[in-house]
Amino acid sequence: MLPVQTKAEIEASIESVARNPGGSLIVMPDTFMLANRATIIESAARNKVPVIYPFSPLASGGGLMAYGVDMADLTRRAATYVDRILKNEKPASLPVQAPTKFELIVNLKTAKALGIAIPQSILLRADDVIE
Amino acid sequence: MNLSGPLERNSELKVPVQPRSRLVRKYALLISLLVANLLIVSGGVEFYFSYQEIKLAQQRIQREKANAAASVIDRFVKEVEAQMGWTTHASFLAPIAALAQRRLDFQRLLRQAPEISEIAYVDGAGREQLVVSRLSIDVVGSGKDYSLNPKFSVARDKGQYYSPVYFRRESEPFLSLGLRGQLREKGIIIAEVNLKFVWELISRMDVGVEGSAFVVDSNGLLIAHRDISLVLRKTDLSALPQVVVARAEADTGGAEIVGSIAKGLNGQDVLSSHAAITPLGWLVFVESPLTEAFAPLYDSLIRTAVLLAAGIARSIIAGLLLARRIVQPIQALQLGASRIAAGELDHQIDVTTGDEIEVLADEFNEMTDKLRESYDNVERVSALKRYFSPHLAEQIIASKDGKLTRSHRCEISVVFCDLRNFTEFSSVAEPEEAMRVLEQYYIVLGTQLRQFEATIGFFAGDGLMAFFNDPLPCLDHAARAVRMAIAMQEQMEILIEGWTKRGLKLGFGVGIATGYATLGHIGTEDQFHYTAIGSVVNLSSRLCDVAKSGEIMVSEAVYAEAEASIVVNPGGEHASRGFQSQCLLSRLSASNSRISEISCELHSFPFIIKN
Repeated sequence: MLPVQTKAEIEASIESVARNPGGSLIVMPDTFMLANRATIIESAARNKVPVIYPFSPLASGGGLMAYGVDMADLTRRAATYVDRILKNEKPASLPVQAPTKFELIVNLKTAKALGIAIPQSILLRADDVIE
Repeated sequence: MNLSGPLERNSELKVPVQPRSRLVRKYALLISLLVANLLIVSGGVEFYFSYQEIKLAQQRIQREKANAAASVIDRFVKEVEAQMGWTTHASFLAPIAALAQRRLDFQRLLRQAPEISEIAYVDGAGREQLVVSRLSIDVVGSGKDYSLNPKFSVARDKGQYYSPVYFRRESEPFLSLGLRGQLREKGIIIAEVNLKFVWELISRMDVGVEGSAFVVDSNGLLIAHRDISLVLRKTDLSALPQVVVARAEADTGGAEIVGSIAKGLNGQDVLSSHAAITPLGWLVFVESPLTEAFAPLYDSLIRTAVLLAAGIARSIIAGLLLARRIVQPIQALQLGASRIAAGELDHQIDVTTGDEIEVLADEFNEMTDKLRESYDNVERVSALKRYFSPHLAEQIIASKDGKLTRSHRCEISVVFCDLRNFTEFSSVAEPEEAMRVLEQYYIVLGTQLRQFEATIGFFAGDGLMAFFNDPLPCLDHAARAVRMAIAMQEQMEILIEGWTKRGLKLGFGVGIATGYATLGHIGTEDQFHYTAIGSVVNLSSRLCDVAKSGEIMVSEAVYAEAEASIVVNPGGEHASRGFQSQCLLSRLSASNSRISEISCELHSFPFIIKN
């Protein structure tokens, strides 16, 4: 677990992973990560660390892979709840809903740059493969 | 009585019907009530039947929707099974390769079936070999023992297994589906199916504008509803009446209930239909609010009511019109009758309806004609009175055959009047002059005769015979006869004076006798007189012959009777009040009344008459 709070710490964490051979990184879903995605992507590419991201835009932005919920869908579902609360429904009566839609994005370009061969099984499961 | 003018037909052909006619109102009411009654009865019967039909039809439609929903969900589950089935053919490979192949298959399956969130392979011995999950890390070769787990055991024995619905993390409904491998495959594939995908199906279903559909499992737990939050709250609907009924029906396989009226999930009255999803043991309910489900029914009711109202309105109008047509001739009749009653006997009722009322009107007119005839008769009768004494005429009319009773005997007083010297006068005078004299004479006599109600026996030329006490009874007939004679003499005095001035020497004498006579009809078969015969008549005649001008010759009997009411004043010429006349009342005394032996002894006593 590598907690990070600043850009410098991001850099330091990625470098530390790169020092372990065969090391890779899982980025947690967090707005801080989202805000600093450029830093993470760029640093990972420089240090040749395979990273899997929680949100799909990060993979299309240059990251290796992303597996997470479809944010648009989640936001849409949240909006219905907002509507209901505004219609005087008690929030306590609204159950917690877990997401049902997940997507796996694989960026082959990044994989090639990293020199990683993605196995067939993962490619099969991927919802989107970026060449 | 109005008989003036010639007979005039009523020129008004159509009598206008009074708007406030009671008869019109009565008939109009009757007709409209009849028609309205028919309309209501037939409308009511029709509505009752169509109500039943529409209700049944709507319930059937609802049931069909439920069936459709059930088949959709059934297909969903079957599809998952089918997809799973595709993954069971790796058994012919070597274990490692089989594992890799299986893993690939599972991953592909996860791609294709988003509703499967986890899929596991348990080998023929009941040991878990592979788990591929969407949410957690794949597990390979864990060897977990499933041999006692129904997911394995039931699937192995029966071919497939459907677990009861369970809630992951207390909010997500899931179903475990176990499927046995085909052909040589001994292992079991177990999939965890996220039932939120059923919700998507449910929300896409067509259940009308305000209807809803939901699915409950075999325990009555809600597993799918348009409002997903109800599902995620693990709502237990087993207490809902329609659920109870449906579960009972499913259990006992009893009579198929097409639909029932119940309270829906939000409390409104709904029409509820259900269908079973076997073999899962789930129930799909399709519910529509009653106002929507029975909308055609309410439309039909309104339509019937409007038609009924229109029909009743039309029936009232028709009733009024018809009643007027019926009543018009009756009113013509009534109007005609009232006019006839008022005296217009020449009024003819004109009704040409061609039915019994026309016949009635014709008979009315006939009756009026007869009435007119009888009035004419009355006129003629009064004319008759001029030929007979009035009371005699009345008696003749009153008697049945126009004849009075047969000849009878009665005590009468007979008066004979005679114009002295008339015979000689008429033989030398011009006939016209003689007639004129007679005219004047009879006017005077006639007045007195009528006034004193004497019955004229006959008159011929200047001679006249009248009598009292028959047919009109009279108590003091003798005295009355005398009084009449006196009155006659007084009046004749004036006449004689006039004649004398003209040079005509005429006089007037009266003879009166009283006694029994026989009275009856004398004459031919066709014409006869009513008169008296007897000695009293002869005596009276003789007395008249003897009487001088201005003298009244009476018999003893008459004198005796008249004495009571007439004051006798012996004396010579006298004058009564305003009367310059000389009236002589002489009496004739006779020893016996036999005609042949009357000896006349004249006693002339002038008298003053006081009535």
